[in-house]
Amino acid sequence: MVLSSIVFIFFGSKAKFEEDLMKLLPDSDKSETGLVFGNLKIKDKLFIQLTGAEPEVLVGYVDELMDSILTDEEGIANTLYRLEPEMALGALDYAMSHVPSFVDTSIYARFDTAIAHADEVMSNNYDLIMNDETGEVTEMVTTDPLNLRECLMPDLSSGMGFTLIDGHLFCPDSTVALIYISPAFQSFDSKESTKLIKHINHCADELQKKHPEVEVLMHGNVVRADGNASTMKRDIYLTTGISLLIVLIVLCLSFKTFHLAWQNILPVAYGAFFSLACMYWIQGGMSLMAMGIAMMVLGVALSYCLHILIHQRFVGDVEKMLADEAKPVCLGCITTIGAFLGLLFTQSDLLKDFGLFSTFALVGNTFFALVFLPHFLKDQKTQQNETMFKWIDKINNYPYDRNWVVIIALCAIIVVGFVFSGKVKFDNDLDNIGYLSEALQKSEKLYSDKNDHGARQQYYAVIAPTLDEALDANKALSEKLDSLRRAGDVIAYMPTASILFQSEGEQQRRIEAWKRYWTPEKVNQAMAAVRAAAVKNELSPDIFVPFQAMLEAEYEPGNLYASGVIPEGLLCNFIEESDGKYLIFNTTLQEREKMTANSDLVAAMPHALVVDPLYYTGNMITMIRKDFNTTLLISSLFVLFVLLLSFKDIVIALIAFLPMFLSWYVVQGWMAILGWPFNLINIVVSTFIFGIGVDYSIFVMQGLIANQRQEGSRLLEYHKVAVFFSAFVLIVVMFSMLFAQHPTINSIGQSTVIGMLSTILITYTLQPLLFRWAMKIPFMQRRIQKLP
Amino acid sequence: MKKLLTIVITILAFAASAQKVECHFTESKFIKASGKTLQAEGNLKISSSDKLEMNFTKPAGDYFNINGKMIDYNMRGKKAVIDTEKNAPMRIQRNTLMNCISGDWKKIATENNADYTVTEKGANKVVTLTAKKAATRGYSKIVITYRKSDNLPVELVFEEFNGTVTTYKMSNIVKK
Repeated sequence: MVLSSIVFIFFGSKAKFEEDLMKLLPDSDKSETGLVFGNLKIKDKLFIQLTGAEPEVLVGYVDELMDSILTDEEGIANTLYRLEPEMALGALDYAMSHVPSFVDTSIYARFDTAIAHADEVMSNNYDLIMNDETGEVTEMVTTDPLNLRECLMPDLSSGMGFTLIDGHLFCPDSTVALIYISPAFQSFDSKESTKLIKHINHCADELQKKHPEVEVLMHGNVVRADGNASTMKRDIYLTTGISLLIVLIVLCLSFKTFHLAWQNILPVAYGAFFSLACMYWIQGGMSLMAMGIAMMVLGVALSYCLHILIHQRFVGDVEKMLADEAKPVCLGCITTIGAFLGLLFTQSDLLKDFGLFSTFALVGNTFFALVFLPHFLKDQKTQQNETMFKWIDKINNYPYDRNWVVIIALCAIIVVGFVFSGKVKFDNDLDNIGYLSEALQKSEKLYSDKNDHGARQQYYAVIAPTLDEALDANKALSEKLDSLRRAGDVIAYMPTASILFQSEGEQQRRIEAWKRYWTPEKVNQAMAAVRAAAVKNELSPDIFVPFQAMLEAEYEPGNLYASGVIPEGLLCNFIEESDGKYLIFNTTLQEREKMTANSDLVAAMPHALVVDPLYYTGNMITMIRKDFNTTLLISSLFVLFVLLLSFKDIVIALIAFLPMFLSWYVVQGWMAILGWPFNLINIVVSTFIFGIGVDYSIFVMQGLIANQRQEGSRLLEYHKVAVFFSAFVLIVVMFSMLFAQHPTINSIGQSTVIGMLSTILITYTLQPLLFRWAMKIPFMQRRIQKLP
Repeated sequence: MKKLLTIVITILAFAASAQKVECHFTESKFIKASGKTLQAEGNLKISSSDKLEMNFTKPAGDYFNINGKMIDYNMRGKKAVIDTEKNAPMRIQRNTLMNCISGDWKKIATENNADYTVTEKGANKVVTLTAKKAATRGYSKIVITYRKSDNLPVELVFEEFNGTVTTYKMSNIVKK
């Protein structure tokens, strides 16, 4: 025992936990193209917003905050919060050396218009030159006096993008300074994300202490994951910890011994470490959320220990206790495991983790309880708190099955459950499963209001094995998105990527088009227009030599992606290399209602994909539900089969099966009536209700059969006491979950409390009633005596 | 102009050392592209070696303050607070000019890829820095005139490659 415990603790503690809601979905992180969404940096970006002061003051605060954050660069891949002056100059130089590459062949007609309107442009040029403080504007005007750059980027005024104040990024109305941080890890790496978030929060707190007027807000997948993980951990510790403490105190006081506490905890802890070690050996770790849900299973495990320990208290004989309990405990364990193993047939990693962990935990716990624990027990009955047991006896021995008011009320509850079970709602939105703090919600809303006009941002991308292929494919996607924008199906579309990046072939085509357009005659015509307009607007006609040089120069295709001109923090918004493939991103703003239709159009294009795993798995959520119904059916048949094998009688097996079967409909119906929706997490809890429902009915059935045979009339009483304590334990644990902050834990509490209460009521009322009715049949009376 | 003002302030701050200095200045900016000259003027106050205030009387209300590494300005309707340590071109410019004042001509020449000459002109000393190569941006020539008696700059001329020439003249210099 000691040796195996050391081995399991050693390997169990090496198991790694990860926090990724996407793991709920089957193959959720892979698109049809084979892209692993989990590896994309763009989705893990951290958004930090500073507000509450004048823009020029915020600029200083942004620098101060970033100086502080970057004192520890661990976990940070790159940042984007200001564009260095050198970067702008470098970009200008690159642009001037590769002008034709940025000119789409479709926009030469606009050049003609620009030449024709040289006068109007030159008037503006005069103001620009006279107010130029750095010389850069004059340089720009002398190189592009016709404002041809405006023709290249006509759609950038779509409302998307940044405002630059002293090189710092601001939202379009300049009230919020923006900082983007790309982590050097993935969002579900809870250990790294917690470390980074803690560091940033500390820096933000320091800044806010120093400058109370400034407000620092932060959001992003990493912040969500961290909030989820920390809230879930806190909820688990608080709800299960406190409820376990209450339960153990009640148990110890009931039996007037504190040995009961460690005798209960030891098998459960052994089972948990055994399971963790198995998870480590099989797959290196598990989902933290699966672990959180599985904490309830430890409640089931505790229930087996209780049956053994309470029975021992009554019989005071370890061998007799084992003889009485081995079969029902093993049977209960097998049927519960059967219910959990059903989850392995689903395609969701998280559900598989939960099923596997629970199975191993129950195996380890039951093994310890039946093999190791008896060595610690003494052959003597223990004292018990008589007052408390009087109450328990009153509750347990009350003839619920003979009270027609109770029976009719229960039947009414079941019938109502049946009727309404089809109306239970299923919450498909994964956002509602994760925990969102108020600060996080505020940050997301502020960002959306200021930058996305309250619409929903949706990334589309093209993916290809080479950059050139990706760039060619992006041209088609860009045209499609632009047509959607013009049709009003997309609120805004930022074509930055398609303007900045072109394949070599496309650049070559554009250079040819440039040469065809800028014939010597056309150059002369443009220069004449520029000179005339300059004279008219009191500017020297000789300053536009750079413009003429630009028109007459020879050009070669360039590689902006590899040029180093655009900093990594900005570049990753447009192009990312992932899993040996190149992705080019396009950002759109859309109304939520139109997103699916637009995404369908994009997803149908070659090389194009919707950068949202939920898009590809949207139907899979429905599939999981169907999947889950199949799983429940398989589990039910498995449980019925085991009951049939065990009791060797179809009537007895069906009566034992009844609480589990009926409670599922009661849960569905009453959740529908109370307006509590099912989600992908709490639906899993139904397996737990299945398992525990079967356990109780097995123990009660064993007692009923024993009573009927008159071979130990107190067995039913003992089992009912154990069922009472087990139910007490679980109801306290589940009830405590109702106070959890995390919506997942909370929703589990809701469905489980209903399930537990209905299971116990059915087990205490309908099961004995039906058994009694069955025993009125002479055939059944004879048969029950012959059962093994 | 922002850059030039920083230069002026840096020079004066350095020259003034720990002294408090006040003076009147004029700014004359010739724009080759239009052939016109813009005029501005105001008062400059140096409180310590790293704290300066520059208040314009023309255009009235504009200001340009430096406090340590931070610059706070309101010029022609544009307000900003700049950390010069975060702005590489400004940082380079400052280093260049501080070296210039300290008399390290070799360093200046290296940093600006320029040649220099020093001549004496009556009561003044004139330092001329000339870029070795033509470029699209930056200064083609900088001329700084010092008053020999106390080494305070009295005139600064900055010529840009695009032909813009900005001249600052300091007068009524009062040491406090």
